[in-house]
Amino acid sequence: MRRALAPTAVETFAALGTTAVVATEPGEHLAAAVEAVRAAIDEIDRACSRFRPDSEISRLNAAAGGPARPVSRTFIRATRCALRAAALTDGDVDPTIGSSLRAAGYDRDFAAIRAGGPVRFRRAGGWRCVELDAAGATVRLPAGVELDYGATAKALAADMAAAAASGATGGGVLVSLGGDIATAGAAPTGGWIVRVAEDSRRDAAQAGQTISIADGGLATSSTTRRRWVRGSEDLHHILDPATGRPAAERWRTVSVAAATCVDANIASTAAIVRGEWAAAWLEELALPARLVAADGSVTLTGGWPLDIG
Amino acid sequence: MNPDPPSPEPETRRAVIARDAGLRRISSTTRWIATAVVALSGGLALIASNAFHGRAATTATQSSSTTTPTQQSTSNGQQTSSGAIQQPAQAPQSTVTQQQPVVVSGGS
Repeated sequence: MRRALAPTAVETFAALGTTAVVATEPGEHLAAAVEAVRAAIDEIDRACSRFRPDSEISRLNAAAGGPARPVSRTFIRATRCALRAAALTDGDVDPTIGSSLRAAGYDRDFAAIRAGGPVRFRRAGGWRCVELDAAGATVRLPAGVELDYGATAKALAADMAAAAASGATGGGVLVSLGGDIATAGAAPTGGWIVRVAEDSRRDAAQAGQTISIADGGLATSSTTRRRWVRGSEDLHHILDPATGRPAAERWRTVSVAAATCVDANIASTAAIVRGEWAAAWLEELALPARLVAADGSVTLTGGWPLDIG
Repeated sequence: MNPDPPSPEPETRRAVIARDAGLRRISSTTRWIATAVVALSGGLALIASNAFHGRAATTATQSSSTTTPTQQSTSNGQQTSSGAIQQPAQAPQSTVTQQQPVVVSGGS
């Protein structure tokens, strides 16, 4: 779907199991930007999609316990990104969460998940067991460990896509992948106008706050989306790696602005997992963030603007 | 010329030898116990670290672990960038524009 917000132009299409949005300033750059964005997304999808049997991550997971496997430069970049997220969050964002997600029933594209029997939760394998040899371009996993880069790969794809599109066109670009937003190049006058809300699939009329961003990335993590039922338990997709259970719902939605989409995503995901500690942690990092509690009350940190709308 | 001192009686020599042997056994046993205690403590610590994931108990601890812009070597020798999460150059701004948002940032 293509629409014009002169002089900005926007195109929307399906990608990575969610919706991709590309906006350019000026609008005539849109076609070239979309081409660059599609290429970057495809690169990450082939490397990091847990739901593609031919992806590098699927083959690596299947080979866990065996010898180290050769991997691409893109996969090395995604792995470094995921391990950095784990290091920065004391493992609250852990790439070895794959086996926990599988145990919880999230073992296929979300659209294909059906209600099932009771779950036996399984904690993450622990990110320190991932053996990345960047110089030799190999990765080895111990037996029983399964990677899932969902928390960081989508954000990395947005950052890569925005940079590639801006590089190809020389203009300003915004890329959103399921609401995880990266920008590159010069923003329109007044910045990119973004609605921060609970559901990236719904339109801008939903409850939330409208802001403008001039640079960097913006990510929102929410427990209100991707929910399913197993046995008598109502589950959501943001698991606490320490337990393998869905994180306690102190916050239902957290939005964070950062220098990159990856950094914003690391912070928003970790904030959901950290619960009570999250606001103080974000404040200490001076990250602009908007946290919506389970009861709907809103906490702002790091210079996030008040809602004046 | 002084006469040589009288040699100890055989019973006394045996008692001295027995005492020295006993002291050596005690010393050896003490070393073994100390070594075993250290090894057992290490083993229990390893088991505990594998059984329970670590987590910062306070935000101050967390912050100190996230603000060093250096390379950190993990236990298996790989290099992991530990550069802190970076703020945007410019914080988001409130807007009252009538312009339609280009996108919604929300859960997906």
